Amino acid sequence: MMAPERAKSQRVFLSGDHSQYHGGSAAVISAIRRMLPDVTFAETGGPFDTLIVNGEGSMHHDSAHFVAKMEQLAAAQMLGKKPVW
Amino acid sequence: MNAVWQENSGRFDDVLRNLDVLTLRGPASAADMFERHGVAAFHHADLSLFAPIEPREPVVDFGGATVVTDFFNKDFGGFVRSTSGPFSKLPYFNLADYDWSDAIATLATAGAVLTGRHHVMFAAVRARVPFILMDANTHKLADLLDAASAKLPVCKTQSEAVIALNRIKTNRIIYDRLFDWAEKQTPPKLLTQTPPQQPASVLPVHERLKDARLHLQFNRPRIAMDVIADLLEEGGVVPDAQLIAVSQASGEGWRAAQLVADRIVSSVSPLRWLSSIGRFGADAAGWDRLIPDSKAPIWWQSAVELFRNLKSPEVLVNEEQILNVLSLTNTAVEYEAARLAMEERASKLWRMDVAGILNKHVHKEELPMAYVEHVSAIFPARFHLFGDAEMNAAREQLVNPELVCQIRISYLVEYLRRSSSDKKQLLRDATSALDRVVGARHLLQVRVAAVALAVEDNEAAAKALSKAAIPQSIIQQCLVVSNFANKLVSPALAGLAGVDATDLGFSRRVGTQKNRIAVVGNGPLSSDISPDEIDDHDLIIRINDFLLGEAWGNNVDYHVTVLTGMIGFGQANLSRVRFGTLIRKADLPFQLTNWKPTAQILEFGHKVGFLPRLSRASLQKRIGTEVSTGLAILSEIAHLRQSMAGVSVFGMPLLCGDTDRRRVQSSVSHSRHFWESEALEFKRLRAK
Repeated sequence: MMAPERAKSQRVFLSGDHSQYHGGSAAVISAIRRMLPDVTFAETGGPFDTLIVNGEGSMHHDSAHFVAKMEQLAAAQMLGKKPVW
Repeated sequence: MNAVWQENSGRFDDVLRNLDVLTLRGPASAADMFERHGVAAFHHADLSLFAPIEPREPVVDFGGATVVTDFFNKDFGGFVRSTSGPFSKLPYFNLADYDWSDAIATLATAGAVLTGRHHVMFAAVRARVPFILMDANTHKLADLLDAASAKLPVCKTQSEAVIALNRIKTNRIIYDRLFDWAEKQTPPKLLTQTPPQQPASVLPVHERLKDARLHLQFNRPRIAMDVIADLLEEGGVVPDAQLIAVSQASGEGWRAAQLVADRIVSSVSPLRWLSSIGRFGADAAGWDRLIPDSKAPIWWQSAVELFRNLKSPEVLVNEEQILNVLSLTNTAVEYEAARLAMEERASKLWRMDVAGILNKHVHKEELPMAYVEHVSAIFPARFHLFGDAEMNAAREQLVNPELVCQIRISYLVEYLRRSSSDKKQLLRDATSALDRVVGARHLLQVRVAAVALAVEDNEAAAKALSKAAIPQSIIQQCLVVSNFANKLVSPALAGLAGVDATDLGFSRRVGTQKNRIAVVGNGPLSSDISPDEIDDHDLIIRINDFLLGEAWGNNVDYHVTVLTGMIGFGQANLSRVRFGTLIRKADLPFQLTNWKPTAQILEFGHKVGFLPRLSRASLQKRIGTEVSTGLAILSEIAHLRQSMAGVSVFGMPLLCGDTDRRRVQSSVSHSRHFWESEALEFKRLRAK
């Protein structure tokens, strides 16, 4: 488990940004960004240290979204990233 | 993070175990994660609860109306919007049309939200607006309710939602607690959240169940029950069959029932609850321990009493059981009886048995014949020979306590009117009759109104009221519905009678100059009046007794948007018109005076208009005589519009200075009306 002070230099890739879906999903992303003021959010394809997967309503009944997100986490673990979900 | 979790396979269990941080959206999700994958997860409210919001003006002002969103439909495998039924006419709210701040500001103008959407629920929480939840494809809605210990229903059917909507006021304290709880939540630490401690000694669920089975097998049922109880208390899911086996063997069925009841108490359905706990074979003594404290809703206690009689509520099929259910006159219990009857025995039972049983028992109990005749007349009319759609409507009417109450009051009044003038005897008869009528609890409201009307003894009415174990809000509704509110002058009842209905839509719609209004009395209509001439108006107000079609020289059918006053008893064939034919003939939204829930259930309109009592009293004081409902309505209209322009009057020859063969000029007529004074007042209004 990472100590809190280490978070400050983190490059975080945020997966599961459903902001375009509706205002509620946008609010979730807004909250996440607000709660992590000291990290740098990585662009798609850019380097990152930590993978955050926003699961929201997709993690049920082995749905396609569930599988895709879990495979992202599995890949991050294989690459030695810090997977947060 | 921030995920619902439900019924996923174990293919990614290794990934789950190696996550640095894992947070889920509620206890149901965390329980699923632990039970299926053996991984403990921290849970928190959806992160939208912590998103910043800006002060905004509402995009749309719903004016306190109930709004509806889409909801999940299993057949379509997605979210759908209702295009028919009672909810299709509610204002529609689409979260995709708003950003978060706008959504919350806009929802704050609504009176309630009916939704199957998780984030709409959270927007409603932040706006502190009550919500009714329609079941979704996961337990994501229950996650919040469980986390906040909010005993609110997640509705599976439209009928459940209607009932839940009608309970919003009663449940207001639960919503407020939920809103308060939400405001106290703090966001999780996204990158550093420590998972909850997972006791090393805790075995996975299936191992613990196996453990319980072994205890049972080796004749240690109480220890087996302990294992099961621990599992349930930790939020674990125990298959019914195993729970039943263990609870029966241990002789502690009531304990199992209590454990299960604690978990499903948020259900809207007491009989569903009873069905569940009933299967555990609980002993009678144990049921007392299931009755919650005095803060419990009355239906719960009723349901427990019911269960004592029924033994097996899931097979609610015979006459006695139906009567037992109906005798509780509890909305939820009656609803469940209807639902079970409909589902288990199909339409045959409901169409034939219920009406027949009701009639038979009313006769058996030797109620006054006048009362019996009216009750007998109305029940077959409502329950016989209906198709499925009509039956559903009838079912919903039956379970509506306000409707049942008004019918009873109406017929009681008729009975009193036709009977002896001996007030004490009237009171005894009325009380005796009412005591035998199905509906012991709402009966108390009826008794209050009946007593007050019959003997004008308000103290007695107050005393009776004090014994009524029902929410004050329901009593209020019933008193207003029955038009008895203004007759109850006791200080103890004053608070109940003081319901101001003027904000329910009547004033706004009538007061809008662009709305053309037709006011139709019950006098003869000229033969050259066509239905269109009346129907072309934006708002049609119909007063007191009336017949459609060829009657009293009228040959005009027209729509009705507002009814006022008491609908008369003098016309036997009106019983068909009141709650059925008229409504189905009308294409325009139908507004039934004094009767919001029924109007909603019947899918004809959502607002209620009726004559403000104070304005009528003021008018009577000025004129010095009792005024007719027609004149009172016209006076109110003139006051609201500051003019009679755009107001047409039909069927009111006496007010217009003409004659009416049924009524007498130059003398006090029925109900102490003095028509010449009224005609003068009407002339004054027109000259405004």
